[in-house]
Amino acid sequence: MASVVKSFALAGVDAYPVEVETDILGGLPAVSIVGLVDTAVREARERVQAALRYAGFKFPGEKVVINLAPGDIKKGGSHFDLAMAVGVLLRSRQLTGNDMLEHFAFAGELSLNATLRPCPGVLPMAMAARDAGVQNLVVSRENLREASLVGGLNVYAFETLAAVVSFLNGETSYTPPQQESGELPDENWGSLDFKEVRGQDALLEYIVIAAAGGHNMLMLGSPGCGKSMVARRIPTILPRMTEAEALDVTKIYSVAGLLKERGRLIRSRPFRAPHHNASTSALIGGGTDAGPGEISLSHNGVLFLDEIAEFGKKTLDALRQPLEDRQVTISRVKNSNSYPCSFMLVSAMNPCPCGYYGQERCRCSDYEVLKYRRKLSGPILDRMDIQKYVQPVNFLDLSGEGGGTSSAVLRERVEFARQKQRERFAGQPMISCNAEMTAPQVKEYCSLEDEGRRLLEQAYERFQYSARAFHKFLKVARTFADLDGSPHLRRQDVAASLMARDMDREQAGMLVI
Amino acid sequence: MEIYWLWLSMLPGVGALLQKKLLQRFGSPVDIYHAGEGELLSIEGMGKTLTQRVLAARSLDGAARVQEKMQKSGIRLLVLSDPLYPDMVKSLAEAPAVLYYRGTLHGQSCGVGIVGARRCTAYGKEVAREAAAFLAKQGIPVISGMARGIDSYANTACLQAGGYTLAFLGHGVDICFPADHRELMEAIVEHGAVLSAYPPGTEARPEFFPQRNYLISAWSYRLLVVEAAQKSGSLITANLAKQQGRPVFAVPDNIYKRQSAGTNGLIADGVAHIYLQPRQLLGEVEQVAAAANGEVSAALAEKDAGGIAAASLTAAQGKTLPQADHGSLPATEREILSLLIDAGAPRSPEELAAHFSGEKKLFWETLAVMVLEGKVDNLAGGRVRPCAAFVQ
Repeated sequence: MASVVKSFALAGVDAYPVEVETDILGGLPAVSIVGLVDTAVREARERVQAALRYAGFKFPGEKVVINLAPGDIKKGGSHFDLAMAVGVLLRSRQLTGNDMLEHFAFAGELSLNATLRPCPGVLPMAMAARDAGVQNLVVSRENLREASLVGGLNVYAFETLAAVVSFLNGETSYTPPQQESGELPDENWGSLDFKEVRGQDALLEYIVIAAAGGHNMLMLGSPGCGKSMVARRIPTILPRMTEAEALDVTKIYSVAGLLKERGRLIRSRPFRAPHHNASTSALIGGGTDAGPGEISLSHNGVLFLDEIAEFGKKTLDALRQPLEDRQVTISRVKNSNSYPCSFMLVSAMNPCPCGYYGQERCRCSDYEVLKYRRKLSGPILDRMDIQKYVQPVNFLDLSGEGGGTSSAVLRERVEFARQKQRERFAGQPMISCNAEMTAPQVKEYCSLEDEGRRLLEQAYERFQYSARAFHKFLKVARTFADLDGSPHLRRQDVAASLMARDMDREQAGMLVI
Repeated sequence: MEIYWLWLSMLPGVGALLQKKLLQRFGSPVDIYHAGEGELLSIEGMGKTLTQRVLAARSLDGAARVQEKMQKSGIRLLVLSDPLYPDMVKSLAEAPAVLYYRGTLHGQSCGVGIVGARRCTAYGKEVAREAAAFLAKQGIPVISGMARGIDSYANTACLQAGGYTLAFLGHGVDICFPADHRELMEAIVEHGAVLSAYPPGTEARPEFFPQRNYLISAWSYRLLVVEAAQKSGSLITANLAKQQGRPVFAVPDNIYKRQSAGTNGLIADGVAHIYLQPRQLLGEVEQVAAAANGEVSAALAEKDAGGIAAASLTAAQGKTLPQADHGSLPATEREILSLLIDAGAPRSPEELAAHFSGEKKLFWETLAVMVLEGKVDNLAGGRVRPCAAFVQ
């Protein structure tokens, strides 16, 4: 009878259990691996043969068939090596094997020298193991920490195949490998802090608003005025990630093979800044394996698109659906994976082709400026609740004393406003911040006092705003009020929100048809 | 008949002057077409070779092709004998025999020309906007060239103020150059006309522009030059206008600025009058023209020119201005206003906030309200300045 050993395969950010069945059939020596496997799995044949031999075992001199069940789902990755080696040993009775093996699962790549190598996606695999009721997981030493992030599971880590086998045979007892002790400080921003940003008080106010209400934002400014500097610091004032959020982010990075410090939860909110020549697949996700893109890598964090006008129009428009749904499904011929992508979009661009619009040196005509700005489609612009100018700072002021406000102080305000929103939206699963409010919710939560209403009407007449823009203002005004803990939208909240869209106001004043 | 006009305009080696002579002698293009060798030779300027070339070019195929294109793109022909062809232009020696146009031509299509630099400054833009809007309110057509910068601003501001505008092009009227002006061009066609001496399909070329400049000045009673560098197309237009006997006005500017060397020079050389306010662009003829266009009421026309101008100046600015009375404003608004006025030039709000005595939050709130109420103008680049009523 064929031996059965448990392992896992990845689908998107989740793993599902796979049974590795091994049987030895009579016939000429050959190894055949089936079960809709990709090249990486198929190549395991060579690795497993070499590793068994090096570890002092015998590879069966007959036809060996290995089946990865369920057999109708495409599987990839080199982490099946360990399970296959154990399966072969079990079937050829070189592993005395016992009943307890059905409570074990395996994930690890083998080297030709029979050592165990780490593999991506161990975190979701450990989660899948726990969910499937498998109590024991065997991984490589490097993956130990990552797998241990999931509670309710015994994780065993080894360095060589021989050690695994002697443990399973009950010949040696398990001794956990030495680990560098000490958890990292929970967040690591290096030296990034808003106190280095000076002379941008007005902008900072709106950055806080964006962070507090989850509003997407566009920064306009001449080259070198500090747009990127500001953007890089936005994650430092977003609320701390909850355990669940951190786990989500770590899972995505694990699957993408981007966990730099294996086994540590990612606690700092991600900040991704893809270059503007990024392809649609790089941004949204894709490739033959339908892997995660930049939007998923910035899940629970900030996606910063610098020079957003230089991105391909199609690439940008592909952002529309993920921005709405906060989740993206990548479909390829052989794969279809879903990834979460709840990110805050921060973008920056020059206000005109030369970059100095409104300054003495700018010679761009309004028609050129408009053409340049139209590189951003209406629907994308529409999703930016806040569009602010970043004013060039007088560098003589910069050398002076008096720092800006520190990130810690700003974050406190953000957390306060978020708390208000949590209370408001308690019991409503689809919404967590003001920016996500739907039209009926705006109606319910953004009641206006007379003075505020009058102000909005004035703006409406003066700048010919659309009804859609109207909602945007209310959402932003809601966040302004939340920052002060005010239950109602006051006149000043409305006034401040009306100043949140510099570009719209400016375009109303342009001399164009 | 039209086809013979086209044929005449396409004759090789026969320019505007010779066309005129031929028309004078034969009366109409059909007769020129049927003229014999002897008759042609009798005209001064028609040499032997040229006559042979004209006789050899008897085919109407080329003209028919152009006619087909015109039909496709809704292009019409304005020929010298057309009553819509202004007498003021007709009398000029180099007025072309045919012009292609899209849009509507009025009986009184001549107006005031506004030309200037493509790479203009905010100052030039403001002057062009004010002048064009003023003329539009007076019912005077604005004549320009739909080029980047001042030209397009003049056309645009006129249309925005509900006026009638003409744009003369250095290429076929079915082509939009620069391409960013597509919407502007369509708006001009709808509320005015685009005209060109070049047949449809002709791409823009530098050597075509002097001809178009000639037409701009020809169609203008007066010409306003806003920002022109030395050796610019606008200077050519100014000199042509001078030759055609049109009064030229130039906008004075910073003497150190390269863009203004041309206009300042025009003033220094006495070619142009110094331009200080839009009402200078009103002459007697224009008022008659305006009255004919029915845009100015009889009552207004009876008043003296200065009165009309003053009355319309405020109208041209369009907005209902708040009372320019600082005293009646709340204290915060008064402080912000005086900060703005002291600054002298448009400033970024951040700069002003640094000088504000009260709480920052109050500053932002008040400024927002002032922008919405029109007390403060929002300018390009996020800058602000006090609205006009508070500056005087």
